[in-house]
Amino acid sequence: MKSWTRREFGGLTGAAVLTALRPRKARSQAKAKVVVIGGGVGGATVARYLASGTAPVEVTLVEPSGLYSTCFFSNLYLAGLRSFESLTHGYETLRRQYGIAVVHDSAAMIDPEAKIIGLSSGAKLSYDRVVLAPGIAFQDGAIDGYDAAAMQIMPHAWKAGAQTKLLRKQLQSMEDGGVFVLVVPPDPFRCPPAPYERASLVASYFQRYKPRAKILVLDAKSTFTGQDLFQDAWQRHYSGMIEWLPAEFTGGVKAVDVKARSVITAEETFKAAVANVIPAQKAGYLAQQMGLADRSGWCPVDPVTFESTLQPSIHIVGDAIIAGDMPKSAFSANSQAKACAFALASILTGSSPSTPHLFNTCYTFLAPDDAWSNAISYKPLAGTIRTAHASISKVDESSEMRRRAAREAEGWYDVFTRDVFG
Amino acid sequence: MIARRPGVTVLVGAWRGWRSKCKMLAACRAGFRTPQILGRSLVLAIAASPILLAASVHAAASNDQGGKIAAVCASCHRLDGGDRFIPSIVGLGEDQLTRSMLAYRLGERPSHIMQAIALSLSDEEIAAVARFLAAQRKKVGPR
Repeated sequence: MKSWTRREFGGLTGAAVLTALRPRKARSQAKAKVVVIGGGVGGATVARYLASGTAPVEVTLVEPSGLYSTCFFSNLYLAGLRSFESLTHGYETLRRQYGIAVVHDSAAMIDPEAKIIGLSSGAKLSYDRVVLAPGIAFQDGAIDGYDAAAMQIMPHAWKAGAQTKLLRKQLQSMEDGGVFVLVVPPDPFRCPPAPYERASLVASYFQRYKPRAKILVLDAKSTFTGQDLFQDAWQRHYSGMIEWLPAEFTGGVKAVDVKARSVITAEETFKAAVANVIPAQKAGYLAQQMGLADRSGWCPVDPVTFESTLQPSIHIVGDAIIAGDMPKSAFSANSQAKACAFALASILTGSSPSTPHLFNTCYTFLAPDDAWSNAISYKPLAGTIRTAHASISKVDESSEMRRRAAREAEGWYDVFTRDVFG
Repeated sequence: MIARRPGVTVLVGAWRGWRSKCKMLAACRAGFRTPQILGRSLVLAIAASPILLAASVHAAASNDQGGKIAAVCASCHRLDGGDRFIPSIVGLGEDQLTRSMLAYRLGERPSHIMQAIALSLSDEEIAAVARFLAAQRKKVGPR
């Protein structure tokens, strides 16, 4: 096992460099094996921070795909403001520079007793600790008629990839004067301000290319994150273009009619030129299969070590977990992943984990040169994670401040994805 | 600057060239810089060679704390200084970093992101991360 992970997956150079950098004492110790399953933001960050520390750990990252495209900033791609390539990242640096064995396969099962992971290819990996970053899955049957086939006509575009490209294509070929219907799921879901950012940036695209088009947001909720900031911007930038209908107006989205391309609520049926249906969500497939999710559909974890409270020795980070006040976002996943990596390093070297610094920041675009941001610090408290300090953009701040936030956001994306993927 | 066991695991992500030599450099800097708000580092400023050894152990311990906090910084700031549109935090002195963080905390410098960060850190933690970041400038960046 030891030999194939390193050799076959080309991490030899990086591993040699890292070994040379480590203190002599570490080299003589047996390395603990940590397997990270899922190469999104949470998984890649855990792997990188574990591998670049001085704890003697052999890190394997299991991820079926060779490339990862970020959902964050994909609304800029939908509006034609960023290329899809600029959202896409590989695992080469993690492999070469950090000596992480990246295995392009998917985990089919975990045996927590024997501490063995079975991969879809039939190969097996043994571990001392395993970290899952399974992301989200969609709830089945939440909207009648919205199945895998319907997603090819009415994309969700809530996992970046082919779905995002499909939605972009549909928006481009939509006739001027058409209605773009955006269906927003109930809480909790990945990236709370993102549906409204999507409405804003698609509106900026329409303004340039299809000025008679309309956007209808059918929400499962009656309020939303940053509502005052969004509604102020919709008025300023796109007057009359975006209509937001909360659940109490429509009774909620009940079904879709793919052939007629219409969205059916309890009260009314809306005909769409392009429909973007974001379904209700739950923790990713492997978490469900392994019994790591509770009745809510999400995974309860210890707020210091991110160890599952349902399955000891399995750690979980990112969108799949119940993180108290922390939203499901890439930034949260990155922050939790660092905390988890530090905690694992402590556990594996026999010391006790220290209280983590948890943080979330969102840059949210209202228009190409108008962005708002928020920043919240969190602390573990009584078995969960609670807000410590929060700070958010205000409706009346200057347009110069908003322009600066939009520029900062661009710079942030580069730094952040480097922090994750190396 | 919590007293920790020497040799405790240090985990820092975005930079890796972290060796005893650098710890020594950081220790010297921590030891001989005039402490401002950092009351407890006064203890280190007494000078002379026996203190150096103590300072080295101490810096290694507090660098562990500083490194973990710097990992929070690394979500938005490059630790090799190549930032675009975001202020760089490398190449600055410990005092300057400390003063900046305290100014953000008081709202004297505008940035609600930095204010939330600064409010979440104690004086001691600000001192630890400032010391850690100031030591980074002597190193080659991660790439």
